[in-house]
Amino acid sequence: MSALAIGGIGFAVLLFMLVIRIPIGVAMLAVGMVGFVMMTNVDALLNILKTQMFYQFLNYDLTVIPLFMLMGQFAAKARLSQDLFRATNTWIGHYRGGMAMAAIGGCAGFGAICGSSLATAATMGNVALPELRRHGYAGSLATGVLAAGGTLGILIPPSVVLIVAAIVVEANIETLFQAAFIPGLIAVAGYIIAISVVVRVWPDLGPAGVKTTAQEKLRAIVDIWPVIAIFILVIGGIYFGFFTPTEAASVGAVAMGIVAMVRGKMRFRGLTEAVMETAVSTAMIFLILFAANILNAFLGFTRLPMVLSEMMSGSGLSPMMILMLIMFIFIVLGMFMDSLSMILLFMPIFWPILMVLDFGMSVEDLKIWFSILTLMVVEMGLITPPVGLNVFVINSMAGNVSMRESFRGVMPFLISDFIRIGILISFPWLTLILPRLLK
Amino acid sequence: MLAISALITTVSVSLNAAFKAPILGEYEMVSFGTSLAIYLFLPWCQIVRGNIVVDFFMANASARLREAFDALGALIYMVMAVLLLWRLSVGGLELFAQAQATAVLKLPYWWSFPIILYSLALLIGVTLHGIIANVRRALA
Repeated sequence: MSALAIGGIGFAVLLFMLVIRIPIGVAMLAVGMVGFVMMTNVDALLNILKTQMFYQFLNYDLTVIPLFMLMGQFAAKARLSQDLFRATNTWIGHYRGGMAMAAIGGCAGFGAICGSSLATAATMGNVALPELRRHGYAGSLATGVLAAGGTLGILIPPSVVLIVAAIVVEANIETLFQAAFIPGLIAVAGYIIAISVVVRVWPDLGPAGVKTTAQEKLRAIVDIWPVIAIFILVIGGIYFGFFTPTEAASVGAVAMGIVAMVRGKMRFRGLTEAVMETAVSTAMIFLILFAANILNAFLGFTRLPMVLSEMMSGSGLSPMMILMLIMFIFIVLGMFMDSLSMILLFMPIFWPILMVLDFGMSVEDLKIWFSILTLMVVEMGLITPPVGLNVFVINSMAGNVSMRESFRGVMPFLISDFIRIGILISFPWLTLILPRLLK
Repeated sequence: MLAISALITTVSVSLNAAFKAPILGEYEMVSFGTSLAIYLFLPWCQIVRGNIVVDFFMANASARLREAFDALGALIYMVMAVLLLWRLSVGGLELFAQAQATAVLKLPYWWSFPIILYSLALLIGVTLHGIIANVRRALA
């Protein structure tokens, strides 16, 4: 059997294992190990297993992942979400659909201190969902806006998924965090525009709020100072090179822990909960990271990624069409898979394909641009039917809104996502300018 | 559980302190501590079923079939854990024999192996327990 055939069969077996609910990390590890043995021999596998896991987990750069997750968990316990929502609502609540826009603003603010989408959606949902419903917002818009707003948790740095992407394509985490900033702001703007269009066309979906005074506006900003301070400290610190990401993440986690204890009245139980939540996600991610390493070693031996890449570049498709095709594949996969596994499984295959194509930019720039675009498309998977994790979470919180309504509520935001991805593909400088300016 | 939480917080606090007075070898302590915590997290993650699965295709399958596949998944994981336990014991012994240590603090690498091996043994126990529970429910 040719190496290529083994690679193909390995991949098919992997997908089959995923379909029958074998945990993703376990499936990747199993296929990776068996494939590795087929391509080399048993001794080679036994040899790398002796220390591979040890050295990989010991990697200093990876410690940033649990630390950022801990920071996000603390943020969820710090009860900052109420203040954030109130603050944004004071500022923009008086527009038509203003409270929904405020929810987006709150999600964006929360996303700036939390690197996880589900946590953002759940935390903001807790606060904003009852308020939206009480003020007469339709169930579809109320749940849709929060599910979509949750994706800002990952689109706006810090972002755990982006860190993993950086590891996969061997990019600099700092650079990717810088690059994600402007696209993240575009996402916020896009969602707000989506809301204003929707409530203009269907005015019964959401009302306008009351006007507030300048004094109230100022007070609201004062209330959210911990968010602003920690964001400036952590992200500013990374952007301007005061901290390594790991240092920034630990400082952020400690600062957020203190805020959670002081403002959120987090006590020992809350602390344990936050740490255990972090433990579960960390273990899941590291198992997948380790498995991805073995799997990619195997796929590398089969030359499958290289052959695919040659096939693509020899196919006569223009580089742009290949990029579009890859984005499309990610969107389809995102309907069933979670963002992290998609990045770890498919980015190592797609990146070599793109790397050799001519997009009129350097490989370094291409890497940044592609990572951000990938981040955007895999995040759409959180709100696309049939499996949109964010939509599930928010919908279950709402209780009296049907799944169909929630997915309908998400549609305007999905359209906004598509437009944003189109903009970012057409104007790569939007992504590349900030890393360049801050260099 | 307590040990884990203490570990993580100490790691971040010590790192935080490191800014005011840079501690030599801070990177090494952080990666050592975090990596050990991650090994300890693995069995816990399996207990609470935190390992992510693609749920969509099996959502409508019978409970019995799902239990059977879950047992299969846990079985594969257990085999991996046994393999890793074996190989990492060998690797740990080698690092011990070679007296390999970190660059600055001279922390011997083998120090972490008791915890690593303990976590993997725990993981084997957890997966085995899960398999038995799954099979029981599948047959019930």
